[in-house]
Amino acid sequence: MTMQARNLQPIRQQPWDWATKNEYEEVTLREQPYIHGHYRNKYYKPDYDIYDPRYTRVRVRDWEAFRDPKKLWYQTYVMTRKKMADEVEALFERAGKLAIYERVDPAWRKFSLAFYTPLRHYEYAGAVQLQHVVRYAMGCPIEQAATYTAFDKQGRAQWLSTWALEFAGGEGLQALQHARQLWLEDESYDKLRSYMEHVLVTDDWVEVLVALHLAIEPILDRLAYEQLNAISIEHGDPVLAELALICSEQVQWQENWTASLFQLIATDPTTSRWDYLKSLGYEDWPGDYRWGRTLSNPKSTPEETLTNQEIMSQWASKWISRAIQAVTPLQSLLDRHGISCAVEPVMERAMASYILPTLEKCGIDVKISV
Amino acid sequence: MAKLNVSTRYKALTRDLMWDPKDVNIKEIYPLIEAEGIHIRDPKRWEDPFRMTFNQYVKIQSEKEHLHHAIRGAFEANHGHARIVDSRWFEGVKAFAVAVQPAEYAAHRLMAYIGRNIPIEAIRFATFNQAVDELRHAQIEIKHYAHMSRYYDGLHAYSKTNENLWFNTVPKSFFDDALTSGPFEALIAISFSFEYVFTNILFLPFASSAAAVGDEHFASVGKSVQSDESRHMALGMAALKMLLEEDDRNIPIVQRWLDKWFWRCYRVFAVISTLVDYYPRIRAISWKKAFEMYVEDQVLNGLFKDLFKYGIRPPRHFEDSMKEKEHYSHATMRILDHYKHANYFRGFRLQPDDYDWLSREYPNTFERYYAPFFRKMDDHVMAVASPGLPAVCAVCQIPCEYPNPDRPQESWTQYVEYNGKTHMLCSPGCRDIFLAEPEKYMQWWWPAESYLSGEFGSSLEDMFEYFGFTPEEANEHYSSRDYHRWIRYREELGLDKRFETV
Amino acid sequence: MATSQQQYVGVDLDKNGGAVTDAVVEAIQQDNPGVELVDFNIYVKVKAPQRMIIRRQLVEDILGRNWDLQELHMVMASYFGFIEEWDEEKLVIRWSADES
Repeated sequence: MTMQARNLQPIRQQPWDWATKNEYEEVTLREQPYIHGHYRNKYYKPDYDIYDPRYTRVRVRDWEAFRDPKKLWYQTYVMTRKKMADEVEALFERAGKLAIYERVDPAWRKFSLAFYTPLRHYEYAGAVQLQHVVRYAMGCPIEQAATYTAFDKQGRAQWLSTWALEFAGGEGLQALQHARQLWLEDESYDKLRSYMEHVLVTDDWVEVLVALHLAIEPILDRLAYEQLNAISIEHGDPVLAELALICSEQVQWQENWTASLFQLIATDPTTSRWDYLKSLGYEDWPGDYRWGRTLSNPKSTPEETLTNQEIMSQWASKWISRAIQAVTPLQSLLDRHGISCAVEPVMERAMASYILPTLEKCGIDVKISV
Repeated sequence: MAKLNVSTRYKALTRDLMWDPKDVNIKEIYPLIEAEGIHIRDPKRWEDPFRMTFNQYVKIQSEKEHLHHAIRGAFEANHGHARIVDSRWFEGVKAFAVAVQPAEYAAHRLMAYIGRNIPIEAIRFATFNQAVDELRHAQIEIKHYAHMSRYYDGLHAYSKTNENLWFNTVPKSFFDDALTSGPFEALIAISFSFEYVFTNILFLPFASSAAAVGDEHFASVGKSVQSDESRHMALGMAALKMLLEEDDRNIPIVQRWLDKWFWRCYRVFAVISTLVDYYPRIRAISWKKAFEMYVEDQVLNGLFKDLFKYGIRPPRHFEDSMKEKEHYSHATMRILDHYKHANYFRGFRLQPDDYDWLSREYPNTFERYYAPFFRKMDDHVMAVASPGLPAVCAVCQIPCEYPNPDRPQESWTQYVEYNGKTHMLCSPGCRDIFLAEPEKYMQWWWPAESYLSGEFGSSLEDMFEYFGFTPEEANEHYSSRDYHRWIRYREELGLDKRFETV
Repeated sequence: MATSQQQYVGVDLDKNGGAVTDAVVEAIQQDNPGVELVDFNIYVKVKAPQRMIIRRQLVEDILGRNWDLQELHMVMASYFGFIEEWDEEKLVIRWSADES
């Protein structure tokens, strides 16, 4: 700021007392209040505070330390997504004008409607349970990334719906109906649907993120938005491949930020879930004077005995095993439509290229039982 | 393809995405759905009239962001802060910053909670949109204060101020109340009572004043935020009608919520009345007229006539809010002046033009009941300070210093015995809210008790450290270092030079 | 609350919208009886008794260019009344108290 005249010098270079490096940090850090919540929940976990570290089993020294590697805040989020929305709309418009849908191989046509359309339910269920994460996660840096990820999933659910409406032409609404039936009744989807139902009843918000972003999505999204792209083009359908490219851009971001969150959690040796108060400058806080009077004392809840790594290892083992079981039956759907693509190598590749390296960085062992 | 119309297409994109689970119990997915006694039969026929899809959302919102941040950029580059007509305006902006901005953030978490727990797809995409919008509002407001904080006092530790200062318990307890309610109550509280009934009065008069005093940045914040509120208002209306029409058993429950949240919202807007009537040196409109237009005409005379057919009556104590309109801003400003030595936004000496305007706009009340108080402060800024800590209302948490509008010489404070303790309430409105849920309001965080218990140390320095500002950042504006900074910035820019014309 | 008082519906339009705001105001005036305007410096309150319609075609004709009703989001700072219809062609806001 040396270019400023002396009398126009700012009184401080940093807007806040806590250090910020960029606009993202300026609008993200210390957004969530951590203490002095006024009331306890009337119905859900009535002993818990509004923002309470007990909503998850893992402990973190400083919940504010997490950073989204893409540094998305509202402005940069909507601007990048606007570009994607424009691309998707232009893609559908060109496809209509060039009559591409008419030239798609009939087998692929049947398969792609049967495979991609039901995924709108999968994306949507993920978005719904991420709202749970948005409400109960600790700190704005984490829940902000979850917010945009949830919104992306809504977007993908709508893009897949729009694609099906366009692709199926006059029978668009029936195509959505039919896909819903497949999702609910077809054996190939049975395990996947069940998986998402179990995600929807998972209470611990970090476990939700593990179930979605360390297990099912790295596998299924690689199949849907990467592996099938070349096959789509081979069958005369560049539209779906291009749509999948845009989707995979979102998916890569959701994997990146959750991987860095998992690493932050797994490598944190903190043993008390209340340690984060020190990072906020409340190290001398004896606790709320109300505790033990009108409210129960949160600190009387026993601490976890397992380490973060052990907890995450349990979650990862459980959900990765289930994810493999959920995706494997999709092979029958491919076979039924004569699409030559093997699911198992895709799962192996997802494990080798993403899941295992991420677990390794976290220092987590998993036992996969299929 | 055969082109679907907007409505069919919107439904296709947003409906039938959830399913009845086969392997888990639906009550485990929606554990709160029956907790509040609300009955929903066939919510499919309801929808959000705005019918905004993901693509439209990101396109429209990025356009809004682009326009707003361009204005912000120009304002910052041009030292717009020095160009406003009177720097006391910033004290009002500070109030807004630390009261409203965290409220937006709380609303963001709250809308996620509502969207997650109410399984009605017809309105769910709108609640998801709103959850993202509220984050937008929090962030575009923070960008405003981030720039101000580089040049002025009071904002540099706003999070701590929000967590720990007595004043901030007012907006914070309001949203905490909603966050700890069931999802349907939270929906009525925020989407209907807050958004539909009151946000207009929050953003529009204040944005007009901002433009009038030359704060183009804040005017743009106000308008840009309010343009999202239109969608939130539509959601609130759709939700309200849906609950009323789905089942008759919902009607008394909804009435109870409207009663509670009307007064709760009205009280949380107390400080807004001073931001309309006091802080701007050029006013766009008075609180009284704004209240008549936005609340009496548009809501009580417009909306509640429509709700009569459901058996819904206007909210309890709405007559009190009408009676209080000629007192509200003055009584609230008096409270702020009483405690300005312990607040991060300052009070100020009224100027001759202020007395003229307030007397003209409030001929029945200002001169008679309030001007003597303000004149006393003009002689000596600390003459009116209340020593010690305020006794605050156990519901709205504003100091209990409101006059009874029927007999303005008397206090309106109410006393209630509950659980062997006397609780103080600022008004009959807050008293009735307390009596309906005493076990909830007993849980409030009472700043005075906390400070006295030595929660964060025993000295005055400890306390200010904990508040997030220093004593020099409090008090009266025209004798403050912020005022002198502003004069210096203006001198540097030559803004007060007079040019002769011959 | 005076029950004899007229129920109004309306929109608050951002005057930054320039030609679009002007065109929307003019279209509302042409299509609806009893329209009143109140100027609030940065926005204009446009109100009409009981019901208000905004038609895309008319706004387009006045504006002299293609105009999508979705663009209204950019200038509509607020509204009051129930939104009864909002599709490609029109926006209808009304109260329904007098429905028979």
